[in-house]
This record gives sequence, C-alpha cells and structure tokens, in this order.
Amino acid sequence: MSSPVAELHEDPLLRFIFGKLDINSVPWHDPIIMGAGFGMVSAAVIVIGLTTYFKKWGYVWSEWLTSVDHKKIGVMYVILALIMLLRGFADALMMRAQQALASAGGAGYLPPDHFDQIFTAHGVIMIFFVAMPLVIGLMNIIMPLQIGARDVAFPYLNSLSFWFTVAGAILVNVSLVVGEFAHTGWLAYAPLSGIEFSPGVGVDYYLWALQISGLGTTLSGVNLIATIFKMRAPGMTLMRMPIFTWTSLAANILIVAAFPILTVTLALLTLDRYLGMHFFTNDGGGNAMLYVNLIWAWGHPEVYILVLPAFGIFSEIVATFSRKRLFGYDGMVYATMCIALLSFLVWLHHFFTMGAGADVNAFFGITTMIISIPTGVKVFNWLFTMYRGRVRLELPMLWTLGFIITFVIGGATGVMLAIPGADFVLHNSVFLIAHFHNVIIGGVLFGCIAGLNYWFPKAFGFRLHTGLGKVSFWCWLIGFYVAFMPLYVLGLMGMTRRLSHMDNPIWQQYLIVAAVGALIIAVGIAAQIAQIVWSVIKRDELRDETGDPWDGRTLEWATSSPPPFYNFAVTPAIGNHDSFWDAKQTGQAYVQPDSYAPIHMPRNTATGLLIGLISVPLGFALIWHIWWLAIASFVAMVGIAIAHTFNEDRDYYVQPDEIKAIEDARFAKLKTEA
Amino acid sequence: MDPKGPIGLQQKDLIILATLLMMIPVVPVIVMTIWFAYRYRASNDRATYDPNFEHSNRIEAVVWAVPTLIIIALGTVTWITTHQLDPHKKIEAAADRSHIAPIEIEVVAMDWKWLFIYPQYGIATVNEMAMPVGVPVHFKITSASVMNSFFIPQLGSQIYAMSGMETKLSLRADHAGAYDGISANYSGNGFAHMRFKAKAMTDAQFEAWIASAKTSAQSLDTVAYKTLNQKNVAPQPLYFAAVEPLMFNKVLNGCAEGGLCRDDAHNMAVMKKLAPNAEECEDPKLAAATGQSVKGAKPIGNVAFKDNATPAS
Amino acid sequence: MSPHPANPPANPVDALKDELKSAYDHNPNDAHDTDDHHHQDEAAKVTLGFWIYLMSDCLIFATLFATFAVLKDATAGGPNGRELFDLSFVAFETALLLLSSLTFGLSMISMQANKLKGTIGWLAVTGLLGLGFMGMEIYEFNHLIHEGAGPDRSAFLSAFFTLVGTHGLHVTSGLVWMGVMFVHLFRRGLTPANRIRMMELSLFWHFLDIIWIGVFSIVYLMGAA
Repeated sequence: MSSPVAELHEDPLLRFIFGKLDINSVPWHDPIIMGAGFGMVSAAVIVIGLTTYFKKWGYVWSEWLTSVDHKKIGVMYVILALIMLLRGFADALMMRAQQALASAGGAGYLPPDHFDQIFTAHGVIMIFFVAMPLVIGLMNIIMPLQIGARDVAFPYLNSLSFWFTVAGAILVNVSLVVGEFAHTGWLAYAPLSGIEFSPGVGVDYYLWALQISGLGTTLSGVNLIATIFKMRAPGMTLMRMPIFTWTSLAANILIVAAFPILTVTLALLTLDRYLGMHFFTNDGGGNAMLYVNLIWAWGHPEVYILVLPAFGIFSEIVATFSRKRLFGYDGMVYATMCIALLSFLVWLHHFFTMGAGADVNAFFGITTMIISIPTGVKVFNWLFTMYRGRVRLELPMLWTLGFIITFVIGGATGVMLAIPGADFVLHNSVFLIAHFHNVIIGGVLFGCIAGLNYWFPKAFGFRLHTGLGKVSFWCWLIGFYVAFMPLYVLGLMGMTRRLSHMDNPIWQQYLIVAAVGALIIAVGIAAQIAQIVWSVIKRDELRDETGDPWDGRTLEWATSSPPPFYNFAVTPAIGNHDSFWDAKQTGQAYVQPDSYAPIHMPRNTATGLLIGLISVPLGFALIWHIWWLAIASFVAMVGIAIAHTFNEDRDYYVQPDEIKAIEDARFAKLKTEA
Repeated sequence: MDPKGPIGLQQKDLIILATLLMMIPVVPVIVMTIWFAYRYRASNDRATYDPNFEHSNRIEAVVWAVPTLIIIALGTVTWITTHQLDPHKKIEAAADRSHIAPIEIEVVAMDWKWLFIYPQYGIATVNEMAMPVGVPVHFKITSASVMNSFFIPQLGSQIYAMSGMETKLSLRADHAGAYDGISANYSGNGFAHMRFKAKAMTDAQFEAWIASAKTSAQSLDTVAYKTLNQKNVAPQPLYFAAVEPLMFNKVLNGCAEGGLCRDDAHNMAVMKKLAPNAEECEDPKLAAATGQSVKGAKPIGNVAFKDNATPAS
Repeated sequence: MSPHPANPPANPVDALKDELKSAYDHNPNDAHDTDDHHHQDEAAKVTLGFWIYLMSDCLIFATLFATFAVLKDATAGGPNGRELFDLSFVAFETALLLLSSLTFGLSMISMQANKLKGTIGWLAVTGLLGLGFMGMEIYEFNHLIHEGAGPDRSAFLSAFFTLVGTHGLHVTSGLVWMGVMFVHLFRRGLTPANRIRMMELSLFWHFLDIIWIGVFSIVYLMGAA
C-alpha cells in the first residue's frame, strides 16, 4: 500500500517480461490484506482439493463449466453473486467499523489509502458482481421457462457472457493481493481517476475488470432480448408474457442501450491513462464534466436494470402467494416501460451541484419525480393484488412485504433528493448513502432473495428451510433499519460520504449504532448460508416432486423440478399470462402425451469458458503493461472464437424414447404424490 | 439540521415540506401493506376471496391520479424553489445591513485544503474564512486539482469546485459563530482532513481579522502558491498579507505556477488569426476580480483596490 | 446450424397434441420442421440478435460522436480541423468505402443466385476496397502524428482519433471476418450456415458504411468548414 506507483524494472528484459509487476507489488507486510488473500487462496484450494478428492472433475466440467444450459448458467451466476456478496459485505463491515472507531478524532485501524480502496471495492463489487449477476442469473434460470422455451436464443454466447463476468470478478479479487484497487469511488470520477492523480494500477484494475464483465453483460442483454422476441411458446403474445419476463425485457433493453455508454466512457478514460489523451484531463482541453455526464448516462439506467427485474419478481410472488391474478397487469406493463424510458432522462440529478442553470436543474428534478408515478402505480397494484386474496406468509411473501414497506421509504427520500434545492444540502451526504441503500437493499436485494427462496425449489427440486429463512429475513430487515436510519440523521447533520476520519463525538454515537446494524445484517447473511447448507443436508425432507410447490401460476411451474435439460417435453400453448394456473383449473395441467417428438438441443462447449478465462491474463497483462502477454492472450481469444465457427457439431436431437423415459419417471412420481 | 443563514433555513423548510408531502402516499401504503396482509391472510376464511379480481377502473384511476397529483404539487414546489435557491443568484443582505457591500471571496480547492482569496482586501487565507454577520458573501469557486464540493452545511447550498471552471455561490450567515466547512466530494487521500472554519462575526471583529491577516509575514505569489499547492493537508490555518493580482484567474487558467495562461493563449490564437470577434484589449478581468459594488453600499474596513470600490459619500 | 439427418415426422395422436399441432409449425425449437424451415428460423433469430448487437454498437458510435461534438473546439492552442483535414483525400477514402458496400451487394446478389464464384469474387473485391480504405486511414493518422497533431495533442484530437480509429478498428475486424468467410466458403460453399454468416457480415459492412457517412459529414465536412 505504501507506494502506489510501482518502480519500473531497470533491466529492459525484466521490464519486457514483467511490465510494471515486481515482487513489491504484493503488500507482504499488510496483515489485513495478506489475511484476506490467504483466506481466498485457501478457499479456492479447498474447493479444488475436494473436487479432486471426490473425483468430480468430469462432472463439474461436463455438467457445469462447459454447460450451455441456461438453468446451469443462471445457477452459476447466482453462486458467483453470493461469493462476491461475502467479499463486498466484508468491505462494508470494515467501513462501518472504521467510521465508528475514527469518528471522534481517533485514528481507527485503517489508513485513508486502504479505506478509500475499500469503499471503492464495496461499491464496484456490490453493483457489478453481486446485484448484476443475481439479477442476470435469475433471469437466465427463469425467463426461458416462463416463456416455454428450450434455452436462450444463443446458448454458447450465454456461456461466454457468464465467463466474462467471472473474469471481471477474478480481476477485482486479484487486485486485493497483487497491486491495489482504485481509490477513486465506485464511479472513478475524472480527473481523480486520471493518470495524474491516480498513477497506480488501481484504476487500471477497475477499468479492465468492468470492461470485460461489461462486455459479458451487453452480450447477455442481446441474447435475452432475442430470446424473448423469438422463442416464446405459441400463443404467448407480448401482452400474455408473465410480468417477470416483461421486466426482464425492459432491463435487457436498458442493458443494450446503456452499457455501450459505459464501455465508451471507460475506454476514453483508458486512452487518457494509457496513451496520454485529453478527454477528461485538467489540461489539453479535457473536460471532466463530460466524464460525469457520460458515466451517469449509463449509471442511472443501471439502477433500473437492477430494480425492474426485482419488481417483476415481486409481482410474480404477490400473485402466487395471494392466490389471485395480478391486479392491473396492463398497468404494470405500461409502468415498467414508462420507467425504462424515463430512466434515460434523469441522469443530471446525480450532480445538481455542478452549477447548471436553475431551468436545467428543475427540469431534471421534475423528470425524476415523474418516475415515482409509475413506480407508485406498481406499489398500489401489489397492494390490490393482496386485496381480496388468500395471503400465505411463506418466505418469498415475507421478503415482499418487507420490500414494500422499506422501498416506499427509500422512494420518498429519493423524491426529496430529486428537489435541487434540497439536494444542495443533501448531495453526497450519508443521507444519500442511506437513500440508495434503502432502494438497492430494500428493492434489488430483497427482490433477489425473495426470488431465490421462491425459485430455489424449481432449480434444485427441494425447498429452502423456512425457519432459518425467517431468521435471515428478520435480521436483514431489522439490521437494515438499524444500519441506515442513523445515516439519514447524520446526513441531515451535514456528514458527507467517504470520510475515513472525523472529529465529532455526537456523530460517533450514530455511527456505532450503524455498525451494530451492519453486524445484525451479518447474522442475517450467516443465517442465509446456514439456510442453504441445512436445506441441502435435509433435502429429502424438503423435496418437492410436483414441480409446483407454491401452487404457481406461470409456465416455469408446469415442468418438473429441477426441469429436464430440454425444459418442456412438449412445447406448451399459451392463452393467458397465468396460463399454468388456468391449465390447473381446467384439468389440463398434468396430461402426459402418448408420444414425443425429437427435441433440438445445443451441445455443450468449452469455447465460452476458454475465451472468458483467457480474458483474465489479458486484463492482467494490460493492467501491468506486460504487452507480450496481452497480445498473446488477445490473439488466443480471437483464434478460439474463429475456430469455434468451424465447429459444425454444435447441436443434436434428443430422441423420443429418451424423452419418454424421463417423462414416464416424472409422471410416475406425480402419481405417487397424488 | 441547524441552519444559521437564509439559504440553509429555506432548505430546511423545503426538506420538511417535501417530507410531509411524501407522507401522504407513504403512510397509507405502509398501513395498507400490513392491513391487507393481515386481513387477507390465508387462515382468515371470513375475508372475501375473489381470485379473479384483477381490474377495476376506479382503483386504477385512483392509483394513477394520487401519485400524479402529489408530483404535480411537488413539481411546482421544485420549479419555484430551484429558481429561488439557484446558487448563481446573488442574495440580499439582512434587513438592516444593506448599506454594507457584499464580501467577495475567491475559493480554490487544493489537494487537500481550501484557499480563500479576498480580492477586496488583498489578503488570502487557507482553511479559515471570515465574514461579517448579515452580509451576503459571493463566492467564486474553482479547483487547482480534482473535483471537490465547497460546502458549509449550516449555511446551506454546496457547489462543485472544478479545475478550469468557475462556479458561483452566494451565502449569508445571520448568526455569529464558527461553522464547519468541508469538501463534499471525495478527492483522494487527504479528503477527510480537507476541512475549514467559516467564521461569522461582527463588523469590528471582521476588520480586526482582516488586519491581523495583513500582519502575516507571507504573501501569496507564484512561488508561495507552488509551495502551497502540494499534496498535503494543512493542519493549521495560514494567512497571506498580500496576494499577487489576478491570482484566481491564473488558477482558473492553469498558470498560477507560471507558464502560459489558457485564456492568453486563446486570445493570442484569436488575434493571430485576426478573427473578427477578438476580445477587447482593456483588462476586464481586473475589474471583475475586485468585485462589483452595490450602489450606496460600502465595504467594511480598508479595501485594497480603492479605485474599484465605491467611495463613501 | 449444421446439416443434420432429416427426422421422421412424429404423429401426434392425443387431443392435446392435436390442439397444439398448428403451434408446432411456428415454433423455432421444434424438430418437426424440415431442415429448411429450421434454418429459416435460425436465420431470423440470428439476424434479430445481430441487429440488436448493431444497435448497441450504434450507441457506442453515438457516444463517441457526442464526445467529439463536446470537445470539437477544445484544441488547447493546437491545430483545428480546418488546418488539418485534406478533404479530397478523405473524399477518395469515402468513395472506396461506399464502393465496397456496392460490391458487397453484388456478392450478395451472386449468393442469392447460388453462384459461389461470383460471391467469393465480389467479396474479394470488397475486401480489397476495405484494405485500401484502411491503408489510407493509417496513412492519414501517421501523417497527422508526424505533423505533431497526434491524439495526445489536444482534447479535440483525442476525440478525432478515437472516433475515426474506432470506426477503423471495426473495418479491420470486418476484414478479418471476411478472411475467415473465404475459408468457410471454400470449405463448404453456400451452405445455410454460410448464408447466414454472409447476411450478418453484409449487415455489419453496410452499418460501417453508414457510420462512415456520419464521420465524413460531421467530423470532416463540418470540421473543415
């Protein structure tokens, strides 16, 4: 940590081989970092060791790593997100601890240099490597099932997208031990992130990790849009799609429309840093305001990329657990698309304080508030779905109720921040921190956890344990309020964000409360891990053979749990957005056909895995200026991609007797259940 | 929140008003969430169950109308207050203080300290600024380094400090006191220590403060500026008895440490090409830098640029 | 995508399947269809996906154009477009690229007429024109850098080099794609998979042409005016 700028090797040969990398790039003397690094390496060693010991490599390779099955890829996205959640949450605990200790003039235990990297890493990890993979993972697992498809439109591309995301996550984790991460904040505002003010490799890690994973996200967006438009089951018109599919469509359109802006913004910053260009520099005519505008032109839609699918999850859950049709389906669809469109018209509200004129500020303030109209409609529609229903307080529904209450508070504080006059005092304060955690934890995270509890039995064939789930829920809910309500108060008192040290005994009391809140959330996360582990152990007790444990309404519940690799033996026909519910009502749900037609399926391929993983050395080499490795990796990636086009054995047909055997087994089980 | 000036007070009222307006939908939603979940719980057989109730024009009209009406109200408030609280707008003096000219302060955000230049008095300070109670202070703000945000929470409004750009802010303190000033935009390693005191005081105290700054042995010229503009924090306030003319403009144009100023380079380029819209030859910057004066109002104490200040009549 | 043996049509017998029979005819996933039908669906799917990708690429260029517009006058005392651009040179460059779009069209017409030689021949002409375009662009860049007007000179030049260079990188990858396309065509001829590839490549090539028209008008014509 001591020297952010690596000393260049004097020997030209060493410089050629290692670039800026040398033995001192690893902070050997920092106990916190080395401890964390040791933990990560030993965890990886244990996983690899166990896989080897149990001789599971063949299974892992053919069933998971090289799989192009959307369900498996979705599950891997979720696993990635949960692992990264632990890392991101450890950062959160460290920040809360530092601020609680160092707010009354104390030194705390972290130097600013380290604290700054932690809050940057926390933001980057939570948004890009927790929230995004969770949302994309759930879309991957469920959306094709909801529309009655056999897979996504481009299964191999799907695998590639996932491995690019993994590559980005690996780079972020490598930065913990080799070199440093950015100390710029999660959006790396220029000129602070420029080479003049951040000469170390931290920002380069940031840039390449996001660039590589962002590429994966964009490709995934293209893929899922094409899936929704081209692969719906017959009869499923757009206005018969389940709401989660609708919100997935909106989110993926936003991905395809917004991520290119991020790509360009990061690329321009990269050119500034690597080739001495002047996009955002203080000299040479650069314009740092341009960076802030561009990054938020992506950043605000990003918020809706995350929260819209969460809205979709809640919509499915509310209808299922109220045993009732979703209230105001059409209104929901229009509200979703309204929000998606408006999300591109509000980016300036992130910097009212930049000095734009009152007309401009007022315009963006009001467009921001207008978003709360369709959002409010959604909330009321969920409420009126419960109205005259039969509400079962199962885990997913608990999370949904916690969400509604928490989210409206976050929405209200958001509207307050949207008033420029108020934002002039609240901007960048911890009030803002409390607000966006209020909507991201209360909205996105609660949504994803609700979705995990709801769809877990679909993905694995057994339910998650209810008791531990409730512990987790209450810890998260109470912990959230204990952790973030003090921040609202502190924000009003004038405490700004990202302070590594303060000198204010009154603030310290609030910060200690906030730290306690973070600890309560930690218990919630521990309960979640326990819930998953315990459920796996007790899976036979929690087993669901029907494929429909919640008395569901949409198509994903029409097939077995876990679904066979081809999803549906017979393509379902759709008459309604609650088609499975209707089929159950009319007794058409569990009818086995006498014969089956062959099913066209894609073959697994290691191409996505290889290209994705080679992008790790590519990124690493670019970060450390090891040009030979960068060129070699890039050529290898392009070469593998081209070679893949010559692979003509990409798909096959599942034969009717194989399908019949699988389906016979399923219907036999259904009979014993009944 | 404990505002000590008119801007801060208005903002406090605005936040309270917005909170109350947002309560209109938020409280009923929370109540309805709990009530509906309880009333329509699966075990309650007495509650109506209508599994196909999915549409009602009346309810849908209400759920679109209520948020819309609230946003219309709040939007109106937003439009009005955004113009009222526009940081560019120069605010008025307190009721009985309009005879005193506003104080002009030029602010430079540095890594990681604040430089205040008082062009009317020819002094400069670091991490401490003073102002007389009830008199508007007009800030011109820029940055010598990365982006920061100039913020005195108890006086209200913050605004960004950006290199090569000038932002404006107008504040007033109506009560004497020493208020915390901060950077509200993360700017790197020393960010947490980038704090200053904004002291609001009586006229006499202010004059004394200026006078004591003038006794400082240091003056702010190119060399002193270069020493100051290092990456470090300033644990104690610093005072400069004199400031090189146009220092703020030089910071703004990237030549405070020497070298060619951006605006001069531009003007030279324009002149070279004999463009018809070349700038005037007289120096309008000097007049602008020393501050314009309010008619009939006179600055406190001895001002540095007598020819630019309105003489006492 | 690859050829596979035709499957015997299954005979749906029960009522449910009868009901769904018409649906099968529209379902891209189902094996009932003949090879031909399957490839048509595959082509529609790939084309839609490729279109969506092109739209996202279009936004990359839109962002670069916006950046260029913001930084156009930020010359930092350095040269501006009027002093740097040689319009007749760029006009010739433009002509090469426009012509290459035309020859790609001719290649596609040959493909539709099932003429492999014509397809490859016109594709080769397209590639040569593209190479010519890239050669001229590299010459121009090299020339500017030697004149001291490199991308690190000013924000304007950074934006100029990045916008034009990004287009150039796209053309280069289009040329690499063409190289691979030749191998595919020589190996297998006009198979359905290769037809799909040609269709996407032609979309890509015409897209780059359209972007270049934007570059030519906004960067060069307006910059030199």
